[in-house]
Amino acid sequence: MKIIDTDLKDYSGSEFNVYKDSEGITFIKFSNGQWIDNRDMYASVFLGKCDSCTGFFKDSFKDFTYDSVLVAGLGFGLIPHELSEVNKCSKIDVVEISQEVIDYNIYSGHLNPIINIIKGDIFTYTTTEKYDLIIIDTIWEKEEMTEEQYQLLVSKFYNTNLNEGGALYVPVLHKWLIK
Amino acid sequence: MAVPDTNTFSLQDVVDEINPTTDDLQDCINDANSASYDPTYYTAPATSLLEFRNYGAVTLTTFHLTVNTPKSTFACYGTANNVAYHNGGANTIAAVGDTVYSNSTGTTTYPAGTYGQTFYSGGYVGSRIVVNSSGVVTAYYLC
Repeated sequence: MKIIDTDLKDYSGSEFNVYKDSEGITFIKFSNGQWIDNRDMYASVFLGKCDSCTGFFKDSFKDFTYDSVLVAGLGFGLIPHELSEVNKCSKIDVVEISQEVIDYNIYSGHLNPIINIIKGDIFTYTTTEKYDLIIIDTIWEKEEMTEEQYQLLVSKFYNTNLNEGGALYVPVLHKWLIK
Repeated sequence: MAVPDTNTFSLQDVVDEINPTTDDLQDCINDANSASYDPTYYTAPATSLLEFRNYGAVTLTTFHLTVNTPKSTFACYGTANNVAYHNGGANTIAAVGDTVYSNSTGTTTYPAGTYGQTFYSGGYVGSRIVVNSSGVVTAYYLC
């Protein structure tokens, strides 16, 4: 589900701006040109829920249940929002590399307090916490992550941080690795 | 009547089709409607007479696009209910090199972005396209 647009505060910063278009849809646009807008479909696609999600996304989540989730990449929190408000997950940790993005989300105040935001780089971040699902949502296009980087994430998280039956998931790469 | 689909037409054929202010090639280029060029012979911006071959014979084809999507992955899962027009001839959807327009007269090009496309409103999105700032399709991918 999308975030209520009026709950998302406008913002103008050094790394990104948050603004509304003529239809009142909120956009976060980064200085490198990458952007995302506040729509229902994004979290629903990546979490395998959309009606038109055939193939990879639908198949990956078929019969898969999860309650504790680590998300890498925050934006304005569409995936964590879905996990807290719809899935009712009991543990949602989010690792975000940008302090400005973290500060914006705190300032805007639109996310459920159950969402625990941690500043860090997912490639160097370490934790002893265990999760049912680890979602790597730090890239826009598949060319932005090499196979070596993906393997680094597997080696970091697979044994240490996934519960049995849990999944390491990179949606843009269509990677879904079950433990 | 359209400019002949041969390589032996004259500037007068183009003038007759466009009716520019002054009857020279540059004014024909200035006054031409980009949707009326035949993409087989034309690369924007036009620089030569031969690029007017078959000008005016091309009609726009209606198809449907999703909203512009921030990650190309999403383009394949949107609902394509925004009407658009392409100059790709009989093809039901746009292909690389086609120009996409937001109006049926071809005077306004479609905004740059990544879109899912289908030939009927709300239909199954089988492919996605990347449109540049000139409205030209620069990439096509099957979903």
